Amino acid sequence: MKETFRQSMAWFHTWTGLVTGWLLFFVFLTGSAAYFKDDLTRWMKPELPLPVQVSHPPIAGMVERAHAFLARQPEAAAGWTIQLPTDGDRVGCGANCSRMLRGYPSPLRVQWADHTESLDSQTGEPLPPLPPTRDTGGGDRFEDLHFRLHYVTRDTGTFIVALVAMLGLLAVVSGIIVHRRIFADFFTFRPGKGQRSWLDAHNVFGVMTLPFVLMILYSGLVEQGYMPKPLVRAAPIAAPPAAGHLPVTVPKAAIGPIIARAEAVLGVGELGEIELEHPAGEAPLLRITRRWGTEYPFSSRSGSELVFDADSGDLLDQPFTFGQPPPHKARWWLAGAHFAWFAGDGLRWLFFLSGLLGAIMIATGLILWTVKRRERLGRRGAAPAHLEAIERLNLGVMVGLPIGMAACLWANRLLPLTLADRADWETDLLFLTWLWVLAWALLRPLARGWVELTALAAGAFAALPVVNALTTDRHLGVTVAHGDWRLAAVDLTLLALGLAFALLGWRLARRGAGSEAGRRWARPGPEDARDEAAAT
Amino acid sequence: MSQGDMRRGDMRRGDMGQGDMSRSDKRRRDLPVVDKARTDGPRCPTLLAYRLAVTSRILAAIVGSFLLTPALQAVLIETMPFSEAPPFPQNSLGASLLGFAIQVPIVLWIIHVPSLVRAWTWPLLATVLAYGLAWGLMPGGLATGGLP
Repeated sequence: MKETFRQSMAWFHTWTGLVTGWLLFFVFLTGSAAYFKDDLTRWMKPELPLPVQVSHPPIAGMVERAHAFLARQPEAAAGWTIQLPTDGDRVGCGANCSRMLRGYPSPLRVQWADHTESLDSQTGEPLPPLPPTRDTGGGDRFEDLHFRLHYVTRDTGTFIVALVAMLGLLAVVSGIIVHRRIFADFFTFRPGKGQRSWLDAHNVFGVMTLPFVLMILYSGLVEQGYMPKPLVRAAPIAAPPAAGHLPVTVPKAAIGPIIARAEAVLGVGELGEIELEHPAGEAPLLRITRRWGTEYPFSSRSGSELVFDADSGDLLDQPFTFGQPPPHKARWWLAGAHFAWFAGDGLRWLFFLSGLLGAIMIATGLILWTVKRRERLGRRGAAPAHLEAIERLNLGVMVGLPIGMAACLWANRLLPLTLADRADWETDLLFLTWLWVLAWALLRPLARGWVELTALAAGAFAALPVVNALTTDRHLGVTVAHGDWRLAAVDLTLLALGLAFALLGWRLARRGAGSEAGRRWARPGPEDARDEAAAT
Repeated sequence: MSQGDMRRGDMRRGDMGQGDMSRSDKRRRDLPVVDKARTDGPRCPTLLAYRLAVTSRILAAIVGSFLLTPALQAVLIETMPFSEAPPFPQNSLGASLLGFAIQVPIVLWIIHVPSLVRAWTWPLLATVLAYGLAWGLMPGGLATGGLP
């Protein structure tokens, strides 16, 4: 392709980066927000009560009280599930199950047929229902956008994201090959030197986030499932044949020893669910599943549960998870790393910041592409139309998407609660606002557009805690006083983002005002007309 | 040399002052800046030919990597030391997980290889060889005289 391997890789890095940059920026930004999806969901549902830590009695006692409650339910004979209470210190399973949010303790719950009931763990009596919450996509919406886009079918969205992730991975690997002085690049930043400064910034952010970006792209590709598949001997995993079920009763075996044995394998305090079923032709089975948020959460259910004979209390099946071979471990390690299932607060923040820095790395790469060509071509006169368009699209995406995300949160607070399809409107407003910003970026002078839109972004983010305070009683004054720092962190992060955009806008305005272009920016005059005439 | 070409020469020098220029820098500065198509691809005399060559190479990268990667995965399945028994065939899972790590260098090689003919033919040949090797290794395959 080119004379040397590094030249080929530089060419490939440039073009894959340009082709995938905007969509990858979208995926990174929405994905970063998704690391705090449960906290965002709590913020977007201000009707939920503030969390109160409740001390619970021993598990065996809770299970017996739940049994007593279930024995009074006629439909529970088909089988039931007991969900043990959690303290909310681990991430939940999002849209797939509504029982737990990170930072929000969940009570003892029982499920049977189509029913779910929360119980008082001390008395076994039903708890009063939670207040109804507003119709909102919550933080899960950002996760959905991250991996399956919007306004396209799920299959199309995941395919596009997988394709972009693959090109992104190729761009990263070719970028590593291009930057042979990768360690030195990390410590090199020469400000105020145009193209060179942008290259330095791109390198610094690239090196800083390299382990995270490699991990997140690779594990994301594995999660999306569009991996190249071997064509021979890939044995299909057959679903077990469906068996009929017999009615269940309260297990005859004492629950205490079963719980103790399960905790010996899964860990003390690690039990999540207890399920009873009675397949035809077998003994009634008591399945005890590990808590969510450990290393093998959903999708690997069969690998993280113990199965007991409910009549004799014998352990029937040691799960596949334990002592499993490396490929299986690797698959779940990748999933756990991508979703940060194991991460506590500190590591979660590190993932979030790495995601943001990854987005900034992409943004600096896209700007570098335009600055390089602008410096090469611009002095000869007007830039070609495609360069102008890319510069404006950069602005529309890099500032427009954050503004759109802020608009989604504004919509959550300001749309009427009775509005039909309210959750969909939140997302629609994200994209409508983004579209408007894109139009603004295309129509306004570029330098002025950057200052105007960063100022708008600053205002949009910084005002959100104020709007929150004016429209709900879940504002900083309440959450901080209550010690609910996870919820308070949402408001504080919005303020910090507003401040960051304000600083960026202020710096851009100062830089613009100090240059010839900036003076023209301040006082549009005949030079602009001349430039436009030259451009045409 | 046009004024624009001179500026491109200036860009090449970066921030170096005139006094810092080495002989090779001066020689490079004096080179005429020629059409991108000619500098980027000596085998592509026109811009159209250059674009066709790039398109063909991208297609070769897609087709070649998606043919060769599964073939190499098939070899891995036959050589990895884990169980292939259902319901969790570990070799298949391991080979699938390694798929992207295999595909990336294949794509990069196809992008770099100087000859477009090699970019198309070598991955295809390697695919045939890899499937042959996998067939040879698999139970009931060449090693035991049977068919897959």
